[in-house]
Amino acid sequence: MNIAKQDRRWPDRPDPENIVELRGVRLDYGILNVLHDVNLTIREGETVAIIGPSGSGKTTLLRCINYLARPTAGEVWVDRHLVGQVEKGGKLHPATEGVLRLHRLETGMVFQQFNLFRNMTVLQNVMYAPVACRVTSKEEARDRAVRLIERVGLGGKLSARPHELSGGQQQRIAIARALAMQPKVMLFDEATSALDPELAREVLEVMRELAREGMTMVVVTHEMGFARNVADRVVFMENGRIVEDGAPAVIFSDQAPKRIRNFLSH
Amino acid sequence: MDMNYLAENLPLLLQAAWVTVWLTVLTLILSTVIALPLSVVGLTRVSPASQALDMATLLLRSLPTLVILFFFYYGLPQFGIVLSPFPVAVIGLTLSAIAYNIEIFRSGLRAVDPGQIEAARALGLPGWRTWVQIVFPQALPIFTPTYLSNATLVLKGTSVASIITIPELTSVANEIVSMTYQPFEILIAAALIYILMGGVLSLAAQAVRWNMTRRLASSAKEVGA
Ligand SMILES: Nc1ncnc2c1ncn2[C@@H]1O[C@H](COP(=O)(O)OP(=O)(O)OP(=O)(O)O)[C@@H](O)[C@H]1O
Ligand SMILES: [Mg+2]
Repeated sequence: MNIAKQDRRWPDRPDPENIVELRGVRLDYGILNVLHDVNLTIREGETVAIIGPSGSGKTTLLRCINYLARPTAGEVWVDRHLVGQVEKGGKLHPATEGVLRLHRLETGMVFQQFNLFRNMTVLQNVMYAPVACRVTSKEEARDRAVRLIERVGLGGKLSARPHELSGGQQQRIAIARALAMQPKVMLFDEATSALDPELAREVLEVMRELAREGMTMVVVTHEMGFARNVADRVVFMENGRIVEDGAPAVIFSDQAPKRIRNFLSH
Repeated sequence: MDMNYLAENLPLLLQAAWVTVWLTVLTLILSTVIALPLSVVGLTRVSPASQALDMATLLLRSLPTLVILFFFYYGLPQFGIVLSPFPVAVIGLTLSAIAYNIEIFRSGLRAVDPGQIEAARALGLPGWRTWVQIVFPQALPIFTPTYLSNATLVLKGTSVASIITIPELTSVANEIVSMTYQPFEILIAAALIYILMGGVLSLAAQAVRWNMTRRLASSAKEVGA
């Protein structure tokens, strides 16, 4: 996957420590302005929680990072590659789907509704994409898949189908599936919102472990406990803008701006 | 029931049934092969191409197959294009079957939760794999019953080809009756042949469905476990 060649002459590449860098990202759906001049830098190994009211653009921001949503303007850098654009003759052009697929190998995404492939077993779910995208050989993919599934505590469920698993188990498999692609950064979109507290906890435990191991993570969440205790930084969004970006100790303190305290007190 | 009369004419009827079988099989194969990829167009997002396709299928579904056949049979020669009856019949029947098949496939594909398509995109999977190995296997059991009943309609619909001189079952039966004025035996025999072919069609489709499910499962196994 040598996409480095395509943008090697790009002048203002981000600092190599920055796994994700958003510069002036704007996104409109027709006349609706969903994201407005978003700038965000996430360093290697950091866990950043994104919080904010419903409709503030958290999901959209996450989907811009892997270009499931194409920003109207601005730059998205992941692991020093400009996502969704290619340089041709000194000018930037929108990347084709084929190139976008390569860009998306750098990011893993976990969804609120798990979205496991229902026609496949647990093991197939986890090893399918690495083999299909030719990231690894089949044998290696299988070994890694088995290890990942064991790591999320479901080693006994290799040949189970998604509908035979609880929501929490499905979500842990979904995390393993994303990790199997060896992404540089993991994006979580309200990964526990569809789960009962009991099941949410086992998923949060996996996420906490991942953060501890140094995975770079962007976590959209309503779990303030996770944001406070696990995240290195908390980003607060409102009306398509990042209005606060700081350490949890600051965001969750009495010194935080009033609108954040209002939001948190709900 | 005049058995001698029936035995005399049965070979003619069977020969005609063979033409009906060919018309049906060719129409089903062609319309399915063409409709499958087209059914994916516009499913996840509307584009000019998908809108044009929607218009075309709406048009084809509104037109009686008979009108389509007349257009190709009597209309095209005016522009210097002369086709023999059999290809005209296959083209006309296929065109209207395509329109229905696209709708049938789409209703199945739409029933598959789109979150899986999003997940596949996020993983960087190519579109064809997503459709062929993830969405389609889940849509298959959903649209198969509708597809089967439509296939029976295609079989019966081949009788309109009689209008452009194709010697299929209905037209040959009709011809025999108009010469002998003894309709009962011939029409019963024709009806039984249609029923038999319909039954065989259902069985064949059932077998194909089984086979496909197995093959798709094992093709997922090739990359999966
Ligand atoms: N595909 C789309 N087309 C049109 N508008 C959209 C689309 N996706 C999102 N929006 C709009 O963009 C805004 C931001 O949506 P987004 O889903 O990013 O919010 P969110 O912060 O994730 O909210 P929630 O907490 O409810 O998940 C909303 O007003 C939403 O209606
Ligand atoms: Mg959201």
